[in-house]
Amino acid sequence: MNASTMIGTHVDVRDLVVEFGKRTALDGVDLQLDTGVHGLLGPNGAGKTTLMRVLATVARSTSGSVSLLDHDLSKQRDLRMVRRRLGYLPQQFGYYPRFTVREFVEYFAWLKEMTPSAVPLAVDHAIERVGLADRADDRLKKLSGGMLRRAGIAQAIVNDPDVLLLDEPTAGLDPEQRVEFRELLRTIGVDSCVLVATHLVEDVAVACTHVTVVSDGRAVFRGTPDDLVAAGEDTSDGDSPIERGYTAAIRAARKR
Amino acid sequence: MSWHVTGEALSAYASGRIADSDAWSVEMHLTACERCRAALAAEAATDVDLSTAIRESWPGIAANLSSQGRVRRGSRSRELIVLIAAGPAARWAWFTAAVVVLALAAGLGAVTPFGRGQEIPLLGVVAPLLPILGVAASYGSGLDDAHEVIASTPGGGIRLLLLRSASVLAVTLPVGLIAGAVTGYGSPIPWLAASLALILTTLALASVTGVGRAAAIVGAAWVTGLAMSAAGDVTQAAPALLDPDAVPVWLLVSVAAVAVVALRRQAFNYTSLPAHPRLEN
Repeated sequence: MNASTMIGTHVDVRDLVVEFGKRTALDGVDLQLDTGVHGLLGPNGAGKTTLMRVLATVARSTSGSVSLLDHDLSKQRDLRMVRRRLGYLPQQFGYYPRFTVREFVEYFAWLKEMTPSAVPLAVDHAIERVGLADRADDRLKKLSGGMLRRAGIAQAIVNDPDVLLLDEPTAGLDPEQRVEFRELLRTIGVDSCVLVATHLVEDVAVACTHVTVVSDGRAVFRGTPDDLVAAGEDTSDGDSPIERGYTAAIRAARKR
Repeated sequence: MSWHVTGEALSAYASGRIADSDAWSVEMHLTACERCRAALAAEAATDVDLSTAIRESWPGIAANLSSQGRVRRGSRSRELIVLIAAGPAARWAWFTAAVVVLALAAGLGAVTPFGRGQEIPLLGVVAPLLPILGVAASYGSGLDDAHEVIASTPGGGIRLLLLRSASVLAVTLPVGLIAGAVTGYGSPIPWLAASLALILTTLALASVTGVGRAAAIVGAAWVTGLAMSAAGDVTQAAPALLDPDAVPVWLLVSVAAVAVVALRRQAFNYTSLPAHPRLEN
């Protein structure tokens, strides 16, 4: 098991622009994240998934600089080092129906170039952390949607990542599993940087230490969940204080 | 493991004389170190009371443990098996399809005359195409369900691509050889050389266009080339591309393609799939 060795900024994004053809998905995003659980909130189409894909080293930036764990992502040699320390759960993750949970998680342990002797224990540990230990030898096609998502989370955390990127991780989880999942996030967030993209405001309110709100390809709010609550004191749209804050942050950005 | 628990600390731990903070670090170490676990077991065996207590309480502990399941030792060979098994080409459906196609090609080629009195050896035409399709299916074509996560891993680039290409060749080439031997196709060397050249050219081109498109281009070029050479020269027994004289050319093409792959290996660091704007939320 690798102890976290990171000192300094885990995620450092400056003036990030991503364009798909003529469409601008991200338009000058700045983001600095350290250890802790960070929420990434935003309406559909705001650029959350694009930002996650750039941080996961899957999509490339059009301009601006992205550095993870003090490595510049534009340097090929650094890319490999960063990827070993990365965990990523995309919104739609493919799985292999014939694989068991254990084989699926093991597959990604190998792809993340973990030390061979450390793999079996790390795989079991990850499966246990997401509460799938009793289903470890079941094939993925036999699992429910919530269990699949937990298997996906297990592959993301199998290498004890320093940067963990989760895109809509609570989709398909029932309320009780959500509570357990937030607890898991808090544990991981103690010495890693966890970034959770979600449209569920309450996930952020409960589990996150910091929030970034994205709208129309820009980061329009950065602060703690309490700051976001404070931002919504003047509005009445939304069912909870933090939802009001979120609505207010988005509106303020659109007016500008 | 850079350090091991000292004999002193182990005996203190076994007899319960150790300080709490030291006990924690010993336990932490023991979970990861087989050598120290063995040393502790030897240490505990010398203490009669302790070993009796362990023997008597073990059945009760074991009854409450969940079954361990099928845990496999982490080794390089296990890594190869898992990485290859995850590829679509390793699936039975694909393997069966490859066998059927080659068997049909060999069978048809043995009985059907093509063109103006000339026979195009169908097996020789199809056999080099299959590995390309297999590689396209195994890597970065969107057929691999987990490509998005794979693209974010250090081992998902050229290493996985080469591994899966090799596994595809390992399946299709023997099947082709057997089909050729059964139907009396003649020397397999021309089409083997062509196979090698085509798959390596596909990989080289993939560094620019992505695997799926590269496979389509090379496959189309192969079929077109064969059709043209068959139409152009009626006197020859086989199309020029499948002639033994073409073998050195294919080998040269292979070497050139390997050089391109080696030079452009960094291009495989990124997924060749387009960014999915439809995933954008």
